[in-house]
Amino acid sequence: MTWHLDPTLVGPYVRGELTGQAAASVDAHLPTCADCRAAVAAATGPDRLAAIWSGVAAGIRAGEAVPSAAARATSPFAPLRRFELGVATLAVAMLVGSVARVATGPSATTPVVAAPASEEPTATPEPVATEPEDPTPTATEPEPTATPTGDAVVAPTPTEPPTPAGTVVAASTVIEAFDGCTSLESHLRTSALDRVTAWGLPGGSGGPAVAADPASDGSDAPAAGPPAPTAPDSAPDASDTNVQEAGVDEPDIVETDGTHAFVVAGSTLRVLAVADGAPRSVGELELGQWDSSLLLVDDRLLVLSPSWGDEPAPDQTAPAADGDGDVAASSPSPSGQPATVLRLVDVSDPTRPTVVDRADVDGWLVSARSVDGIARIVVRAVPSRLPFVYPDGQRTEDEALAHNREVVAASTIEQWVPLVRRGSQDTAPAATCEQTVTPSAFAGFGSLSVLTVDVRADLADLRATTVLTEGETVYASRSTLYVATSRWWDEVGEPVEDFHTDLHAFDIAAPGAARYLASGSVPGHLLNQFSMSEHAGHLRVATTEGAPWADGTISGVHVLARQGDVLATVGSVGGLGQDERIFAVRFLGDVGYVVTFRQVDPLYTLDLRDPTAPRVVGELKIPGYSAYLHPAGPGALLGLGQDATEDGQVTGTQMSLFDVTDLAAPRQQSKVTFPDASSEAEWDHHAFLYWQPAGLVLVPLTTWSDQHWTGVVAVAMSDGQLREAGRIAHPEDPGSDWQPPIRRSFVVGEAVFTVSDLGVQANDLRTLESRGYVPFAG
Amino acid sequence: MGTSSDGDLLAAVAAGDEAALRELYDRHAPWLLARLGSRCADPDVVDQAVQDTFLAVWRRPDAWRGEGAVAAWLWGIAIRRLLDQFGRTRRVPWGRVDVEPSAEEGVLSRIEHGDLGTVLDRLSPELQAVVRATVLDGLTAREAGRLLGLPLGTVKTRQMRAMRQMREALT
Repeated sequence: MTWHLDPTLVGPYVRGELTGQAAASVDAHLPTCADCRAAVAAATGPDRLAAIWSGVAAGIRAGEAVPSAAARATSPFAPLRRFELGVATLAVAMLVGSVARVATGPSATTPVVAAPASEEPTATPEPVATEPEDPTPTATEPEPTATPTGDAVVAPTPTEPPTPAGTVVAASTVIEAFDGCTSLESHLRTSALDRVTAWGLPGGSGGPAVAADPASDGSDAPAAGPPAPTAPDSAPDASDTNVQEAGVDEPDIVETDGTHAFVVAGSTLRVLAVADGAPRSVGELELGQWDSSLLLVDDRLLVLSPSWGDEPAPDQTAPAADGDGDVAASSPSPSGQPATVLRLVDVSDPTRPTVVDRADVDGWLVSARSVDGIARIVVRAVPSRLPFVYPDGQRTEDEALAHNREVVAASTIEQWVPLVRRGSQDTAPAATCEQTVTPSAFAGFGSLSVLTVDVRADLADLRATTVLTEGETVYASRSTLYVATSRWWDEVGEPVEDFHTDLHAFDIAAPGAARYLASGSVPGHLLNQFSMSEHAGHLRVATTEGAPWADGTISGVHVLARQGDVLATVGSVGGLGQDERIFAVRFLGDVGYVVTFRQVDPLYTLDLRDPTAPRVVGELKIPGYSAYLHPAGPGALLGLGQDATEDGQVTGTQMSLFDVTDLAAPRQQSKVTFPDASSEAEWDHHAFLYWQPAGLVLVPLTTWSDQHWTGVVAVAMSDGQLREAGRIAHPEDPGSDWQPPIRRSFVVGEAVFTVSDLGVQANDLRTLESRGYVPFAG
Repeated sequence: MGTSSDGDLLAAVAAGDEAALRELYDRHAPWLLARLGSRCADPDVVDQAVQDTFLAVWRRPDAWRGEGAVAAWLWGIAIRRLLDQFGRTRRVPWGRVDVEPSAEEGVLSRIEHGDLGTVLDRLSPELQAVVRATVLDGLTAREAGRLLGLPLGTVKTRQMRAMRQMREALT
């Protein structure tokens, strides 16, 4: 660490001209070298620095000038003077205290009371869940005897929520509805007038900005995952989609009905005939967007595509449909603003996939689910049509502020909420004002919408339900859809002390619009969609508390029940993996499995039969970790992850077969390892295929050692043992001598089909010999 | 004021001393601008991130718990404020790229402490971007994906490729 910043590098670094080694060296060195920082400062333009400081100063004064009671109440971290700190801290401490009775101690700074694993939970949960109501049971779990538990349907009487003690940040999760557009518009304007500055709304620049949750993001695949091949129940000898919940389809890059496969490659939808054991290209459709995902229902595909409004839409010139707006207040998708394109594609003639309907929705695609042909699409949006200005040569700060306040005062509902444009016609809010709700404690100007599409019909009515908040991770049972958002920052962008996750539940049991049900909150953050599971009317949520980038993390499982419009914690168990983080979760019926990891992999088994008293019953420590857990028949659990040395250094992919017949004594029955390799299935479960009829597990594999190899490895499971049965690789691309990684596998009849970004191959299910490869043309 | 430590200045900021914040700003805003500037081509976005950073410091000076360098703490805030901007205005600094499993960060950091420089130079720009984001910037794979405008899977794939190439280069 004796390297010093070469003075000749300072100028180029400040101008952004350094690359590679030089830039990285300066990056790494700056935080530890005050002299070097001073050198950089001397080379930085004073005008730019002064301009930014004026923004900081304005922000300070704006914060002081607008100590609105509402802002203060919802954000203990709004601008604080010294003497106020004590008050805020006390308030937090009281919240924690009230929670500790029910949950484990939720506090990022002083992590959970670490209950020694396999003991009773530290706190005796108050049995607040006197009426575990599940409006629509059907909590079907994949494997274990998942009879839809028909709990009595208790009318959701929103009488005073029975001691929402478990809701850590109860204030931010109580929801209010609007009785019409007047009250919604008034709510938005009032909230914004309190917060608007000469630069627009807090936290953002220029146009629309919202104190959004940085942890949530639109391109965030893992939670809701793009991918998921699908085989409807028609073709019994074809593999089904690997999804979390039986009967709840998830969008993926591959869908198949056993006769045809539909594959997204680049910006093209490709149709292949797969029924006769070898792939044959039969049709294609250019989409115009990349990163699309598919849901297949009968002869219809719902294609979900992210768009940034920068590709020329066929009808970009459609006039603004909404009223007033002195500026371009309502172009359907302002260029550069994220939108989600929904297309219904008729594939009844596979040679001619045809778009039968299209709608563009403001916002990022978070994820989607489909049950019995009814798709629910979750999008996040921030207001993008408010023509804010900022101080510049033309305007002083005061003038800019005055202008921006006028913008807010004159704003209409269409400038705040996500709009939908269908075809070249009407642009309208996705949700009616009556279908829009807001947390009673202000949670920002962003919105989370659940849209409903009958894939067999059209997009005439998307029937959205909107919550004025953020959304990040989606999970759905057949009857309820949950959206979770990790909160690292509060609504004005200040870091929160108690990292927590807000949860919102929507009723999707009926084919109509999703109905907002309830909200709640749990301490910590989630790993992915598998961190949530609904069973017998209860939502189980596995979280890691504490800052993931620091020591002091600890994990636990919370059980929530809906009580009126509150998702209340009725039981918790903590103490999993001190200083470790969750790497995998799987809830199967009354049992939960949680993998935490830092150096070794504790696999915890949890007994969840009593929702008010979940408990850890077993623990298995082995080197490495599992990143994905898959049920493999009674008493058997497959784990896919990384092997590791004793000090936690990962060494390559490992697949484990766990015997969990005795939950108190889980054991690793068998394992196979693939040194210096990793698998896409470790972070995307859609890449994982367990084909039970042949006792085969198929996962993509790529090695990073000198012997580079990429393809699919087949692992045979028989008599409680795993062994490598063979491998499948695609031919090198002749143009680039690049071998594309295989991303998905599915089985039709006696053939295994594998899909990469460049082509599809079929191999014999028994011998794994190639039966043919079809490159994607062009 | 010029001789106060960063920690002293933060304590003064906590007491409502705007001049102390200005001193911190003068010390740290320039290098934060430069370093963020290499991660995002749009100076407006970078300026906003730096502005947000110091406003956050003003509002929560006590968030620094007295451990580690203030400079590193400020970087952690600044880079995430930059990501925050991407969340709302999608600007992709390096174009589209591919991914990484978090436990492999250990491998990368080992390599970093070896002969990072020359090895890094041999990587393609998109792989360098992933390595910088995950190793130097301390971002998770998911955050790196936000920074680079890439799906998580792509970040992980690229991280794997980067690791492989770096290992080859080191042996």
